[in-house]
Amino acid sequence: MGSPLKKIMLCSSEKEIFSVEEQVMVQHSVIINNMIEDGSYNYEESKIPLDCVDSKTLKKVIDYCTYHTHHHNDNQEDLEAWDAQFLNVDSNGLYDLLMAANYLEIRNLLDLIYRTIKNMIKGKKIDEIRRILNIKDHGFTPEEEEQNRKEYPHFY
Amino acid sequence: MHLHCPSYAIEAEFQRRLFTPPSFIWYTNPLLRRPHQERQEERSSRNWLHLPVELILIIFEKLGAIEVLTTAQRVCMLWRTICKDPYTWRVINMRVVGVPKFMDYQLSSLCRRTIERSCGLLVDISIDYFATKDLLNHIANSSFTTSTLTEDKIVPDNFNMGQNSPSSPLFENDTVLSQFPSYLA
Repeated sequence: MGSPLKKIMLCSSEKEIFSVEEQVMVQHSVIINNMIEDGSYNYEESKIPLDCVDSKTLKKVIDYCTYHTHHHNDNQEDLEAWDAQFLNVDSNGLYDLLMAANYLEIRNLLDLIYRTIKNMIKGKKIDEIRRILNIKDHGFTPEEEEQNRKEYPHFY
Repeated sequence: MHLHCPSYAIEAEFQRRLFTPPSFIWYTNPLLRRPHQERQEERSSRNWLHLPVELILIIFEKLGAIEVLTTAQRVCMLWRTICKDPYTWRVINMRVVGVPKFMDYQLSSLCRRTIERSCGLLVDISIDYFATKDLLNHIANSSFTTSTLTEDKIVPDNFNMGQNSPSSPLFENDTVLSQFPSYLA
């Protein structure tokens, strides 16, 4: 665990640099924790490049980590309410967050996102799922699709 | 051997192959996916088909087998391909909790077909009230490695663990929970 005052630099895909308290990221992100423990991070010069995370998403991820570091003693209901508010994004935003959380290996955030995705598509019909996840090219041949629709009309 | 082909034609063909938009096969086969294609995609709307397969598997796991087999596998070709892979079905969670009413389905035949899909790789299965002695024997006979069997709300007339255990030695070390496990809540 690093001291709370140390800052680390994260660099988004737009080359925008975010300065975050070290402890915040170390506590949540497995890869950053490993990086710091390895000693491969140089506090004066290094910036951690996150090429697959854009600035908007990175800012959200940092918000999440910061909030959960400073409010981990709050009661469960408050945290859940905050999480629900935090994940009140469209499916594009959710996709970006999922990729970022997966890349940085932030377990709590991943769990939260999976639960949200599950709730988004659970119990929905196929056409709805396609609309929610923005799947336009489903890749079935028209005949297959036609046959499926005829055979299982209640799923569509 | 001599190729009678002007070099600019080769160049043009090369350029064409390089820059034509990817056909659907690129999406369905994860091995053929290239990161640069994802960057070429319009940033305005994400394609959920580009999600790495391991993440899709986790989502399927959360959804539960019934939902995956009824709706999710018909959503798109990639998901269908994943659902046909025996490794997807190493852990089967066939609980009826929260499954919507319109899925009035023959659960025990669905379960049998799922077990067939697992091709004997099954290690962990959770089933619900539709468990019968027949079905449990089928599970025991069709997998070599099942170590955990979780079920609840067994209809007592159809099933008796005391009678079943001696006939199928596989169940000897099984965990049988009579209550809902906490991870379902």
